[in-house]
Amino acid sequence: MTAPRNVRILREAKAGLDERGDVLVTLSPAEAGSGVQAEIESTLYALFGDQIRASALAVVEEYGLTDVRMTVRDQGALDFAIRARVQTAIERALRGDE
Amino acid sequence: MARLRRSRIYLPGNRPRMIQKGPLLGADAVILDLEDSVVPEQKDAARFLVTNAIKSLNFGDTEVMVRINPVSTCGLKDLAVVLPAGPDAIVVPKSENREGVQAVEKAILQSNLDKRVAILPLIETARGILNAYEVACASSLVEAITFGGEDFTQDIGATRTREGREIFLGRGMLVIAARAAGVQALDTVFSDLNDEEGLRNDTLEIKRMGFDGRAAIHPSQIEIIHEIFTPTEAELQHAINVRRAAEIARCKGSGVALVKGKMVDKPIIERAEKIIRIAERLGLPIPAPEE
Repeated sequence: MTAPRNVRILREAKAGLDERGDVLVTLSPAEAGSGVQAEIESTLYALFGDQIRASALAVVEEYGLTDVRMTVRDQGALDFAIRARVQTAIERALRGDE
Repeated sequence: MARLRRSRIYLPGNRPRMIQKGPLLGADAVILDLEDSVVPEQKDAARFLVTNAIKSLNFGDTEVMVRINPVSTCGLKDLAVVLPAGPDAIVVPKSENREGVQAVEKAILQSNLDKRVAILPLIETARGILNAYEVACASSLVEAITFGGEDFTQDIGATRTREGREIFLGRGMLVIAARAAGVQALDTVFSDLNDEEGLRNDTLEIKRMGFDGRAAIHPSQIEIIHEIFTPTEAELQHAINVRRAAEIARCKGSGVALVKGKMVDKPIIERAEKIIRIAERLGLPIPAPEE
């Protein structure tokens, strides 16, 4: 199956809880042609910053998003939680909250 | 033989820190919960979190159950997201009839997984108890029926007490339905975390009633539950003696044997075999029969 490409979100969305072991992800639409901008904040940035960025971007890529600004505020989340929160934020941005 | 389900611990489906501890708790099963522990506006987030946890974390021998929301609300939506990750079992709350179980069975079979996913209906209403046998027989994927004591108490208009007299009949009816259907009977939680003695007494009581295990709401409860649902050395020794006596009797053409002066026949032999199977499953040392 071919991955979707150039998918744009039209509204801001958030996911995650502001607590240890979790990650707060915010997505917002960015200017056309700006691609994907990811900003990572983490208490463990020196150790895991690159890994957190890679995990978050991998999910964005699976959805084929472009022209999006993503902020990831990490509080020591494991990879599964990072991926899940980014996925939730994307789904909310694309389809709206429940 | 069905999986060992002495304990199963509830973990809130939208709390990553608690979920990631799941494989380390030593419970026979974890229940990743999408129902009561998740507020409506976070159901979507919990589905994705549980799905990613099942895909990423190594749960080892711990059975991974997911409690979905009732089929009458968003349970089927939960299944659509969670099933592709391949959980071991689906706990179906507010189960009251065969149709609900069969809707879950259909979703499982349509997901084309290369593994078996068991169904564990959670029976927690008066109607559910009266239909427990029908629920247990609704699908060949049902491996156990489980009792939800808190909701049941509320549903019948009773008051929950430490002694649990108000749920005695419901528990008994559930065990009978489970046995008639040939599936396991699993009991409810013990809600008072600070009452170890109460948990111990209540768990002893349900073991005597025929339950195969119970749910936990805190890791501290697991050890006590396992202690009670694990055969003691004396029980295992007796079971081995019964098996040996039965074998000797069978060679002589008899279905009845004597162990230490007491008659043992088919039900006692079957109970002994069950104890031996649990001991073998747990890797306990199997003693030689006593002379």
